[in-house]
Amino acid sequence: MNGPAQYLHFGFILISLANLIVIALLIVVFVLAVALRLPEKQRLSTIEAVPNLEDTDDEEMAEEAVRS
Amino acid sequence: MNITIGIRERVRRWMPLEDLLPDKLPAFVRSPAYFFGVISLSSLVLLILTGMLLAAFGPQWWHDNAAGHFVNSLHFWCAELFFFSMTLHLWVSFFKGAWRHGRRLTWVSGMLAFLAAISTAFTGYLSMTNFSAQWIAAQGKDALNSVGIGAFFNLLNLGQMYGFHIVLLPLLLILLVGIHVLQVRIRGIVRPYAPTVEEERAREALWGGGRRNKQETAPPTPRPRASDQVSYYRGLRIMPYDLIREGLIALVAVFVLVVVFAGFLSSPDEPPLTLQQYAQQNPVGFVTTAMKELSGTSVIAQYGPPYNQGTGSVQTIGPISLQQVAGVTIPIDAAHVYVLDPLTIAAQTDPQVAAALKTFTQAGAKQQSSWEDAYTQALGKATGSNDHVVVPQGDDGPLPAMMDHLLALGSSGALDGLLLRSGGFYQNDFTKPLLFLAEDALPAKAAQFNLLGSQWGVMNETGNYPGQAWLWLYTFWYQVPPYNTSTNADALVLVTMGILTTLLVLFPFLPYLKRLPYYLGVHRLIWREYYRDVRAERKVEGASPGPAT
Repeated sequence: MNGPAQYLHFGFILISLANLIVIALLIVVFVLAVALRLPEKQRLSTIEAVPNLEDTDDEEMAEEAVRS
Repeated sequence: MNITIGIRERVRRWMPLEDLLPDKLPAFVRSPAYFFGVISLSSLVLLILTGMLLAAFGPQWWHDNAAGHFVNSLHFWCAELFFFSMTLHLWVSFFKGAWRHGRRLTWVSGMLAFLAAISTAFTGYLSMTNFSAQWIAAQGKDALNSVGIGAFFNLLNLGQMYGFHIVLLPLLLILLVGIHVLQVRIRGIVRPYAPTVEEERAREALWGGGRRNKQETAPPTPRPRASDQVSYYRGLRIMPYDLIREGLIALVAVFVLVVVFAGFLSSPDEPPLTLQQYAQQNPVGFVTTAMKELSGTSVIAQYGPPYNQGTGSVQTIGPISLQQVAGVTIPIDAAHVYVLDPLTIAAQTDPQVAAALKTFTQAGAKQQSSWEDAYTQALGKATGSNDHVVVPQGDDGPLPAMMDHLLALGSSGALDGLLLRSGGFYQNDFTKPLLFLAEDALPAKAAQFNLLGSQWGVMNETGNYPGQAWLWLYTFWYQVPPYNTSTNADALVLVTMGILTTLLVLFPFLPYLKRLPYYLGVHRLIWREYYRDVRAERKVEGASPGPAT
């Protein structure tokens, strides 16, 4: 890694291969993070419904539902 | 009145433990896009730990010791991962419009933390005590000098930069990250954009905290507290969650990753350039630079504030020069500092130097100038060896003898020490030797590593290591007109970046522009399951939009 660096030249843009890899990785990881989902099975098995507070005036009951 | 009880109850209401350490979260956060915050935090924790180890053994340890070099490599890759994940966290937060519903302080504190992190990393590069540190200091000083900051924040002063890097800036960074995380916890993670613009506006009116339009969107009930997550997440599906477990998993994963990178790829460490190397490897260049210092034609001799009253490197922003307003705070008389003072010390034990120096100093200014012109001209045809430069004979008075002795001081290594003298015993300010090297030697070596400003050098690192890719926009300006042709380029780039950065920090306050993420639509991908569920629910309920979900 301490050897002569590899650089790419596009017009007025000069970029090291290492920096290009980092920028490409940033974009790839971002796209994957947006596109991928955690396993559906796991998600569905863990979610639970919380009562809509508009259905009740009992704030304490609703809070208990969320906290518990 | 019991003040302690009052504060305790207020804190308890403001940040309930259930919100600080939640065991349930809304189901819409089940996306990898939500991981980058915790990865950034884990990287920061490891950065601090490895930084503490490096600080414990001093700035020289990692150059001479294999274990020290490994710890430095861990620190280096932690920093790379920290910025990598923080950049992604910033992107995701932007596309989510994470400042909505009263979360503007969350965004602002996060952005300020990002800026503090860049400053911390910058001073870290300056504290590396290798060639990169030398070059970044020599190059960066012009930018900070151009707006007057360099008068008080001297990049060439290792002691000052080291203090900033290991104490002041990390404390600021930890404080800002702490405020940011606290904001996230007590206010909760922002809900997805409502399915329609009207619903989102109503939601913003309820939770936004800004001025409410009484006629249009005033809700029938009083505005809920910003930290009331029960009300905020009402109607959403909630899933079990373990904050501490997720944090520990991220910490272990980041640790394993940086150990692998550090073990296989190590870290960059190009040795620093010394005056001794310069004198030995390029004696003609060394003497030419010294002659420029003596005759007052060097860059530093003509620079201007903060070093002297010259105007050669003074930059202005319109009619104002902040550089001149800041004034001369690091006075440097180039002829004395680099030539006459070192030779005066050498003259105490060398009669030949004393005689040559006496001849020069007792001559009139006109005679001195004539000798300097003749010798400078002769240097164009000079040849050099280790401690001697051969120039064609001319009417150059005592200068050949003086320069030979100065070259001998340089090639013996004595000048490295002489330029560090400051009247005391301990030395940590490298301003004088670095300014001498910055005339010729440092740029010549930096060009070999593609580190010059015209080579997008701010982004680059020595060897094949990744540099500071996140600074691409800063270095971009130096490549394009009018910046790359302006004599005020540094000041213009700093002002431009200052304006753009301020706009980004204050993005949630910008009318119309703050809605940009909604129209870009990336949030529809991040929360696509949430919108799918909303569509399904509404289909069941009928065509009516119903309450905002």
